[in-house]
Amino acid sequence: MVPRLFFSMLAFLTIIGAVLRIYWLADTQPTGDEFYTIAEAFDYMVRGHYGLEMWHHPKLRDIFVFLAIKFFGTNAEGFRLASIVFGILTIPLTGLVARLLTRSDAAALLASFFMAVDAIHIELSRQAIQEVYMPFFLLLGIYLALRYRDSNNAVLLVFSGVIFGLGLASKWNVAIPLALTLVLLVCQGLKQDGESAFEKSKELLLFFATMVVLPLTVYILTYYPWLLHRGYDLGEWFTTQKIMFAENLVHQGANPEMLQMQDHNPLLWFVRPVGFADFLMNGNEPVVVLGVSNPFVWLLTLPAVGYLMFHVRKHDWRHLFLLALFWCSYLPFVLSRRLTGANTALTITPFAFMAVASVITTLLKEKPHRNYYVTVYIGLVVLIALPLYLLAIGKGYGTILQPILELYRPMHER
Amino acid sequence: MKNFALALLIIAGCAASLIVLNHVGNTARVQGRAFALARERFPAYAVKTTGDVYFLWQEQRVHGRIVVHLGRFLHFMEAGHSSGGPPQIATIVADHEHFTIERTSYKDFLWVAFQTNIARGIYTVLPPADFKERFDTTQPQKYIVIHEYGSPRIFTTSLPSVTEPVLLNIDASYFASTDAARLMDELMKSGLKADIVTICLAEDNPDVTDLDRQKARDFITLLSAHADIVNYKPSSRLSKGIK
Repeated sequence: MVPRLFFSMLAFLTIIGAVLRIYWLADTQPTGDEFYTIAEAFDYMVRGHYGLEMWHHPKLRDIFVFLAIKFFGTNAEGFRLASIVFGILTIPLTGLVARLLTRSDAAALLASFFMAVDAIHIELSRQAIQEVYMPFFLLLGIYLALRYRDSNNAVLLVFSGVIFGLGLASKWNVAIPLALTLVLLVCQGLKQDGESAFEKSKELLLFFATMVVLPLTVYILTYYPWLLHRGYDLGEWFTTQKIMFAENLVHQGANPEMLQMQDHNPLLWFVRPVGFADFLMNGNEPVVVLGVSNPFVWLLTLPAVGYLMFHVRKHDWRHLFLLALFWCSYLPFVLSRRLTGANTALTITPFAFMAVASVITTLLKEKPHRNYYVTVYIGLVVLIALPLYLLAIGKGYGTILQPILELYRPMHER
Repeated sequence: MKNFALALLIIAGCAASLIVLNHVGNTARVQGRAFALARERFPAYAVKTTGDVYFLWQEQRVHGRIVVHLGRFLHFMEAGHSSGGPPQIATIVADHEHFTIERTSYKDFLWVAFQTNIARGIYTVLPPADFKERFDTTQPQKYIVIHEYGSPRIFTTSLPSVTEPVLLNIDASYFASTDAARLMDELMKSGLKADIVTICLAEDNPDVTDLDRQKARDFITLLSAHADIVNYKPSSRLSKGIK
C-alpha cells in the first residue's frame, strides 16, 4: 500500500472514531465518577489533597481535568476534553504502532478500525476519568522508541521517556510496556555489531537516562501540588507511594454495589463479552452508560495470540515484542487476586487488536477472495458495534437493548 | 559523544528538578521560632475553646505542619460542603476552587487543620484506656498509623519522637487519666521541639469535665515555671470565617 493511501485511510478511521466519541456528548450527564473526579481535580491542584475517587492512583488526571476546566469551562466538552483528545488520538497511534510491529499496512488499518469502533474505549473516551490516558501514552511512548530505533535520533527517545512518564502518572500499569520497551532497546543496543564496549555503554547510559530516570522524574513531578501546598517532602512522598501501592493490591472500589454489577474477572476479558457500566439520572430518567466488548474482535484475541506464539519462529523480533507486550500486560491482572474492572483492559486491547489484525491479514494474505472475506468480517464487526455504540453513549435504556442493560442490574433490584 | 552528554544532561536535570521539588515542599512549611521544650523557656498559650486553638494557628499563619495533640477525642468529624441540592459541575468547581469552611468546633478542628493545610500530619496521643477502647486492641501495640487518603494520622499513648518542630496542643480531656505533674515530667523528658504550645481548657466541649479542666489549669500553673503563659483571645476577624 502506498504511504499516502495508508495515511489517508488512517485519517478517515480517526475521523470516524472522533465522531463516535463526540456525538451526543454535550447531552450526556456527568457520571458519579466524574463528579468526584472534578471535585478532586480542584482539591488536588488548589490545596494538594487527594480525594476519595481512586486516591490510590497517580494524579495526572487531576492536573488535566483541572486545566481543561480552567481553559474550556465546566461544559461537558471542557471537563472531558483530555479524555476525548487522548481517546481520538489513540486510534491513529494504534495503526502507527501496529504498522511498525506487524509490517503490514492492512493489519495496521484493521487494528486502528477495531480501536475506532470499540465500545468500551468509546464509553471511557467520553468520561473525565483516566482510563483512556494509558493506551494513548503507552502507544505514543512505544512509537517514539521504535522510531528512535530506526532513525537513531535521540530526541525521539527523550520524548518517549517523557511520554512514558506521563503514562505512569496516569496509572502504574504503563510501567510494563515501558520496561519491555527498555528491554528491547537494550537487547538491540547490545547486539549491534562494530561498536566498542565503550560505545555500547554510552548508549546504555542514554537508555537508562531516558527510559528510567526521565519517566520517573516526570511521574514524581506530577505530585508537585501535594508538596507545594501541603509541605510534604520526597521522603514523605515515598511513604505515601507505599500506602498507595498497598491499597492497589486490595482495592475493591468505593461502592460495593458496583462489584455485583461489573465484570471484575480479567480471566474472562477475552473469553466472553465483558462490560463496564455507569449509572446516572437525567432528570427523572435513568441513563445507563454501558461499554461491552465486541465479541467478533475481543474473542479472537486468545486464538490470534496463540497463532502468533505457535508461529513465532517464522516471525522477527517485532511479533515477539508484540506478544511480550500482550502477555506481560495481561498476565499480572489474571494472576492478581484483586478485582479488576473491564475498564482496565484498555491497556491491553491495543496489543490484542494488533494481534487479531495481524493474524487475520496473515491468514487471508494468499486467499483468492480475501477482500470479500475482509468485507464480510468488517460488516459483522460493524453490525455488532452499532448497538454496542448506542449502549456506550447511554442511548440503550428503554429501547430494544434494555435486556442487555438488565444483565447489569444489581441482584437486589431484580 | 553527543548521546553520552545528553544522558548526563538528563540525569543531572532530573536530579536537580527533584532537589528543587523537595525544597519546594520543605519551604512550604511555615513555622515560628522553635523551642526545645525540655531545655528552653518557651511561650505557651492558655486557650479557652478548642476552636480558638485553630484560630491561633491561623493567626500565626503556620502551614504544612506536624500537630501533636494530646486528648481523649479525635476532633476529626468531616464537615459537609456549603452547597445543597443536586450536584452541578459549576457548583462543585466553585466549592472546591475556593475551599471554605464556615466555622470550626471541638468536633472537627483537627480535620479542618488538615483540610486547610495547617497540618500535614497529626499525632494524637490518647490516654491508654481510650486508645484500647477506640482501637479494640488486645495487643501491646501502642502505635497505630492510618492514612487519610495518603496523609498520615498516628495514634499513640505517649509523646512521640518527632525531629522537626511541632504544633503541640494539650487538651483538657487528656487529664482524665493523668495529672499535671506526670504530664509535665513526660514533657520535660521528651525531645519535642515546638513553636506553638497550647493548653486548651475545651470550654466548648461538653464531654470534658470540670475536674479535667481544673487539672489543666494546674498544669498551666506548673508549666509557668518553664514557659511564659499567654492567655489567648482570638481576634474577631479570624473567628468570623476560615479559608
